[in-house]
Amino acid sequence: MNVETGEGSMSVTAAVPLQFPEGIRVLAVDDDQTCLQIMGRMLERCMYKVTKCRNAEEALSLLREDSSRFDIVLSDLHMPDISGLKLLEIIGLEMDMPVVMMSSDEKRETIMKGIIHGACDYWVKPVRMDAIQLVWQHVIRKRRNGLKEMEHAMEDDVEGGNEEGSRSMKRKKDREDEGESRNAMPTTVKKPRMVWTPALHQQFVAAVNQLGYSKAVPKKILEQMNLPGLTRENVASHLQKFRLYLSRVSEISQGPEKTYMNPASLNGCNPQLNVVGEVPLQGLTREGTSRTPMAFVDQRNLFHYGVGQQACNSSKQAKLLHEVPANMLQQPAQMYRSLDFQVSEGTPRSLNLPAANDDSVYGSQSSFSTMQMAQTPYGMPMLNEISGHQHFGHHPLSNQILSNDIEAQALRTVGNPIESNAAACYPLASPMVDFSKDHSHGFHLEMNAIYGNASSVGQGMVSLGEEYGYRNPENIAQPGNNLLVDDSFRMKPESMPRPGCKSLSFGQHFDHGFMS
Amino acid sequence: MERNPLQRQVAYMRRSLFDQGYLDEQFVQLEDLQDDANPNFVEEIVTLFYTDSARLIHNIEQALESRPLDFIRLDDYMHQFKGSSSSIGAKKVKNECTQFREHCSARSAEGCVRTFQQVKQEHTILRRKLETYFQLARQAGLAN
Repeated sequence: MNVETGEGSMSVTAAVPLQFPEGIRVLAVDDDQTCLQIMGRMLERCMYKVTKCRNAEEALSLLREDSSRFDIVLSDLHMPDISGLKLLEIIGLEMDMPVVMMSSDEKRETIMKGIIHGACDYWVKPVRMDAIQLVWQHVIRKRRNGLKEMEHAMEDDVEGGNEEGSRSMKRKKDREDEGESRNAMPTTVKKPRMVWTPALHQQFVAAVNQLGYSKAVPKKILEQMNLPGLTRENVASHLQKFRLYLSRVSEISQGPEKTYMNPASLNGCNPQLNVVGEVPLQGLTREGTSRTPMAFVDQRNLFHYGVGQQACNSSKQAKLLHEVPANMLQQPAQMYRSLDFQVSEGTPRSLNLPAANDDSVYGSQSSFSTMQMAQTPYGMPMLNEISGHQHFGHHPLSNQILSNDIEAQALRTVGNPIESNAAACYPLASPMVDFSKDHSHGFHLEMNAIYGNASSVGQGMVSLGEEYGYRNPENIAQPGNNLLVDDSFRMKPESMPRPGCKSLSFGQHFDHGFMS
Repeated sequence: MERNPLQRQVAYMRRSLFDQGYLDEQFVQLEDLQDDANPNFVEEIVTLFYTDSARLIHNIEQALESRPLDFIRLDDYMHQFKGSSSSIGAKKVKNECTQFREHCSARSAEGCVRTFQQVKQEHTILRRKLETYFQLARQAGLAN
């Protein structure tokens, strides 16, 4: 009985089909029967399709069964079993659905909590007809925002998710159009109503780490996280923010945050090199010479992630080159390849570095994810540096470089604050500075080779760094090259500002900054 | 303008309920929801309210008997009660609920006990008035 069609559609703009917002499907949740019935009647009056629930459990099971059945949820805050806030969080995590919170509590803190937890609106009871009539705005807004987010995320998706994204968007749109008898939501895709709680973010970071930064594309992260209701678009946009954050952080703090160094893990390699990947160092060690952080090998080439690539310049690479032990340089290009792929194969250490080793940033496993991040930014630059321009075929050069007074060079790089930081981490890196310019590609092949033997872990690190948008080329070349150098070359920590390889600090910074 | 005296009486009674502060704007919202398809909506909702609130009142009374008083729980109950009352436009009842909650935060047992009596009183007074009102309205409707 569509007697009162006028009521719902009258406020609709010309752009919207007349029937809208009639027919939007509302899930109303309230343990108070009186309020629930009144709300239901108001919603009916607006020609919305109403489903009433007396508690959050029931609402959740309905939503989980088929979240596409509803366009919006109106929920009371104060309920006996699951609180409205909890419901809000769960809906935010699992489904893309706007949620309006209601309560007779008009305290500012309560309202604030509701909004922070993701409510798209907060109504103080008693609920009035005007609010109900206008609730459709939230539906539209979410969808439009979701659409924008997706478009935005798609642009950044390295894997060419663009096609994927737009296809999925179209599919969603089609589904929605079909689903509705009347038609028409003006916007297409349903907005992913995403609330990135710290816990969820941790899972996200863990997934990224596990995949390896270079391989951490939204689709794979999504699979890795394996959370129902989480969409690729959610992940993509979050990833984008994450990268931006990392690049911002890495630019700001070359030092303390770069807690990559794990002297111990390197087995004699400069721990700091670990940053890029402990593994590389370790791997190098295994090689016998491991001085260089293979990781530094043409990161760009290896881990091209598309984001934050920026910084590499040849000079940086040169720096890295210096780090490469002569013998490393001898290695065949295959190693490069292996290196490249090893990372993704999950070299145990690379991604998980830190924990094992140490004091450095990696610190504990738990902070792994954060450390990872820390590393990457740091590590990345290095790699990028190397990859860019060097022509590394010159073993002799490398040798030369190696034989240079690394310390001196390292010191040279100290001037640059970023470099200094790097130096702190990778004391040995600096010698490379001058070398870079002429080096071509060969070098990083060498590097790769060297690195390749090592677990490819480093690569993982590197790519992560790249992904995180580590921009400072200097950093790359920085002492971080510890990986490249063995203990003998190690710069005394005190001679350089130590980045402060405290993974924890980075992590903390990261978490706080990123999640805030 | 109403044509029959009964209707005029109903209108008058309604007006005074508002004027005397027993009901507020929210009640009008309920009336607006009444239509041919839902001709007794307001009365149905009010009945629902009184059924539900009886349970709440009982819970509060019990809680008021325990010592020491659990102010958090009391406040909780009253929060619900207030929400319900406000949804039907029970203005005086709602105001007494607010008073009660203030005593809860002040942790005043005496204040809580006292104001609760007032809550119950207003609650009962309103029920009687509304019962009369609905009855009158039905008669006036029939008489139409």
